[in-house]
Amino acid sequence: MYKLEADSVMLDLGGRRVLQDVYICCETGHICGILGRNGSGKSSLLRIIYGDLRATDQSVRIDGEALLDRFRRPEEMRYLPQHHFIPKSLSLKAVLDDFELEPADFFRAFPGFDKHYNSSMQLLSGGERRVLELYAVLMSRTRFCLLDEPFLHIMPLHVDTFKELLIQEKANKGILLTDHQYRHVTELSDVLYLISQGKTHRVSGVGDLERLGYLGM
Amino acid sequence: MKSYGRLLTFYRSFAMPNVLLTAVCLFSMMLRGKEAIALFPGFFWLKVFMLGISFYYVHTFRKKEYFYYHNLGWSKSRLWWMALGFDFGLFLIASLSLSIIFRNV
Repeated sequence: MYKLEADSVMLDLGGRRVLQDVYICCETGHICGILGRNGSGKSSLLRIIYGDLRATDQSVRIDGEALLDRFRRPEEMRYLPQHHFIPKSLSLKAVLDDFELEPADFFRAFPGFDKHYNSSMQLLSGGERRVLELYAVLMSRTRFCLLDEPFLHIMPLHVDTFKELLIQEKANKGILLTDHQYRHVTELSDVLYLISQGKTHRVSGVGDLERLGYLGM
Repeated sequence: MKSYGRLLTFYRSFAMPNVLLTAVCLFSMMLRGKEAIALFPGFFWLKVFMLGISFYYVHTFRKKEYFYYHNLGWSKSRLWWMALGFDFGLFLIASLSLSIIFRNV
């Protein structure tokens, strides 16, 4: 059982204060959803937690121990960015191998990918690449997964498969998730945060999202 | 060992012009024979310049791929130190060895 916390996060970008007064907590066994309008700082917050973006002020801890170094070890956390990140020269086989994942499990969850086993990323469509990227980050061994817009470009059938995998995997890790398809996020999340005016608000349902102006009344 | 395979993948993303330049430098030094060492300072700075261009290219056009290596435990600085160390080390060892061999012939 591990606990990831981020607080005292203060981020200024282009003279504008994007984040302040942030508190996020995610534990093994929980999916924590983060919602917010475009530009509210959701992706920036995930990048700060992952150490990729330096904030004006921040405190990121696992089990109360501050992560002072900017580099996060894969045993601690893995991160899915919004964009494609697998080098195009790599094959599907190499990627599954790098993340120590069984090809048979992947092909069972996503039939049809077996024909691409030796293909490089260049031969996969954007959606197929996204499926592989999300699968690799979500299913590999780590304490926490940070998923930024995981369902982007993924077809509904595969989104449903991933929802099952997310629920299955939360037994092994804590998952921080942000996506504009808020229905998926609210459906999956055990803990839900909304970022509004740079602050995190813990919300418990659609009523709170309406009250805080994320959804129309 | 598997992890070092990805270091090779990273190096391959900018290796071609650098390996080619090393080969051209070594070939030119071989042609100069005993005076090969005289070419070394110029080639040294040419290599430094080319590696600088490589850094700019990867940092600008392939920076999204850093997340792949990071997810496997490779920080940016470790990737660069090892890849540049290998490339530049290979150049230094090969060119200085060549100079010494030709001087003693």
